[in-house]
Amino acid sequence: MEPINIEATKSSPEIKFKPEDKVLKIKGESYPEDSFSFYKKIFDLLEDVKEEYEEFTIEIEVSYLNTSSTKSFMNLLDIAEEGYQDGNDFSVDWYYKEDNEHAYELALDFQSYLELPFNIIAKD
Amino acid sequence: MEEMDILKLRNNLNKYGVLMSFTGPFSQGIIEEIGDALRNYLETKIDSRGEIFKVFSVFIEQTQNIKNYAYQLPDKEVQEEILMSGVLNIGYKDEKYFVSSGNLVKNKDVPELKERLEEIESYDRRELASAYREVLRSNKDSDEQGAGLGLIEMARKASEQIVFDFEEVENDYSFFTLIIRI
Repeated sequence: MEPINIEATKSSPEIKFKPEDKVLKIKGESYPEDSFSFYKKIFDLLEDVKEEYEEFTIEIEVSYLNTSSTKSFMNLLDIAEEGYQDGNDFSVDWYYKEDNEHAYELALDFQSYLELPFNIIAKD
Repeated sequence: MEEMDILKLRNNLNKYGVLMSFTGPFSQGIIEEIGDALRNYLETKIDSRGEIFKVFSVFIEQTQNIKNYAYQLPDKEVQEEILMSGVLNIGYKDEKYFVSSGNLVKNKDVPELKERLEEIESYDRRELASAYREVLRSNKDSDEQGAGLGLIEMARKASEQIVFDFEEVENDYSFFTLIIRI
């Protein structure tokens, strides 16, 4: 699998993946013009991860998602959920700043739709 | 030619508590710049990051809704006309922030949008949460740009009833207004 190294812009997050780490990191804010095209590469990555990895962690630290990015996140978390349902050790760590209810509520929403381990972790 | 009365315009904006107003086509770049200015301003007024993101979020959904609505129409000229018609205001009145916007919509699209808004207007908090869930969990393989989730999200961030209006203006168009108080 190829590494992914996308730098953050004002309206899109930093995305990093190194095959040897078995971790996908998404950090920043997300309200791009066309979120589906932006995240397409990540959907494809997770489809491959689902087939090839037995363990995998998605680390998310986003302060803001618009609704179409929320839909894209739902898509990618659903792919991870499928991997988990297939018996793999997949999980999500969601970091948020304590005074950011927006990020916390998003995490709670996602957590409630999924069965895979979904840790919500507050940062100062 | 009658000259534009800028003082009158400013007084009108002041009267309604408008802090920022923009009219014309919203590009992604413009949305980002106004969004930055809005957040910088709100940071001087509000301590909680969550509250700032509430206002910011309604701003993003309103502007992106106008853009997405225009772009899904097939005719380039119509797209242009709708984008040009966009008006967006952010303001503070009676101790609440608000985001209001207006844009042309095709008359044929009015009934469906109106019905959707009336439905959302009738929901309580719990119904809004379940409508949000339902839309988020549907069409999960497509990036449905429809105003569906955005409108529900705005209603969830609102502290009062959403306000909307359609006024027939010219030819095939109505002017759609949406006001969200946060």
